[in-house]
Amino acid sequence: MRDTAEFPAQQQPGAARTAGLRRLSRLTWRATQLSAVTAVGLATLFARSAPAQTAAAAGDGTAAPAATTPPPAASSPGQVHRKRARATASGSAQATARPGPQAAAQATAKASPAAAAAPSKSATLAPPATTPAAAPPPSSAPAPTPTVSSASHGGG
Amino acid sequence: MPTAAATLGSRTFPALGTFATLLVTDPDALSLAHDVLSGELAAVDAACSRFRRDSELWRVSHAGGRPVAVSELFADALATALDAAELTDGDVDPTCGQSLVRLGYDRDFARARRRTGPLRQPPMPAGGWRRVELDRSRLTARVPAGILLDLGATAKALAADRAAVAIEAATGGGVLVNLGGDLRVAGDPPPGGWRVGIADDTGFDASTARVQPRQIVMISDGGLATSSTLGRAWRRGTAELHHIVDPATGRPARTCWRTVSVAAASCAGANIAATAAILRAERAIRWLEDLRLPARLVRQDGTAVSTADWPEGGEDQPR
Repeated sequence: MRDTAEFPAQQQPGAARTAGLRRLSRLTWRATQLSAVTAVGLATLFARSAPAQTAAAAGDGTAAPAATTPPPAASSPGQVHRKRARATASGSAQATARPGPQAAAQATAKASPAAAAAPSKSATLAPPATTPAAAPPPSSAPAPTPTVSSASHGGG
Repeated sequence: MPTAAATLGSRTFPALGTFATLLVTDPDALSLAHDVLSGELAAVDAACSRFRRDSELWRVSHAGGRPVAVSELFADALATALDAAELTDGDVDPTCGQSLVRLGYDRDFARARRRTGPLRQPPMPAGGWRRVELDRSRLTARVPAGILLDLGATAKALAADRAAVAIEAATGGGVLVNLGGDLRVAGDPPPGGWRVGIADDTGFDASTARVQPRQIVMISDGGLATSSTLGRAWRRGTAELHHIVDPATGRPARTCWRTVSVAAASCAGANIAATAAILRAERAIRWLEDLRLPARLVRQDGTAVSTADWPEGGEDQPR
């Protein structure tokens, strides 16, 4: 058996028009309310995420507007230290010769310009280009004393 | 390329509480190479020493959790240490400084090992590397209060990497830098490669950096490092201790390996892998194979296992 409320009774044309207009008005009002709530929600979301986006862009070397200084929350552990734009010290280098004690820093800074442009890890677990080989058997000529890899007793 | 290995220039001297050996293919470049290496070692020591109160590491670790401006070198060293932690899922953790202090390793090892009385404090786990903040663009670092950094697993290897690359750039020749067993080569090697002895540490003479190698291998590029539970080991009361700390417990790692030697593209990478392998025990074999890292792992009983085409044979020295 059907509910009479699901199937309203037949109405006069004038009354139906009035009811239709009333329904249209109510729908318009609700749509306006929904739009307002959505706009407020989007604005809130943008306000929270924009500083973090700006911080990320600045960390990657992109110029950021001075007015959008990221808040401390944007520099959370595990995120900040990965944003690097420096060459890895362990990469192969073909830097210009710079004699003198300062050559270490200069050569490292000049090493591999392509790598310097891209964010990269300071350390990797990449294998060597050439696998170590067994030393050849002793010949009649005396072999030079090898340098030794052994856990050291000092340092720290 | 040099024509004979006998023409190598060589110098060994004390550095970073251990020894440094410098080999160059052009003997005439030895003096310049030594200057570059000495400058790099002094800079790394001033930045990364856990025992110097004027070091950047000390300043950052005792800033009460405030961000501190740091040098490019220290930022590089800390970034390498944090990468090591990330690459090893936290096995190689740079926040083990207080753990080592609790174990009695609170000063230069030569002095620390002289104290033999029982420990007074319980072990302390690592402070947590994810809590350390480094901003490479602003050159600032922040270490939470109570955490003491220890860059021992990476700083010396990083110094070898930096020095070798810089010496090659300065001299144009081939170079090998060996810092207490962490070594890096750069430039054209001697014919056949650089001769490197692989040792298990017993019989090591710290005064002369001499040790009887088990095996001799030839390397042409990259780095090679050895980690061991034997090298820096000491006794407090009845406890036998060593410097490779399990970050989860703050105690010396319990492991099936006494020595692990690894070859990698860099010395830092080799040392990170070798240290992590000690901590990972049997799991290390599969891990190193998956990474294609040639390695030689020596069990506590002296038997050796190798991975990723580490050479067999060589010139094994009978003991």
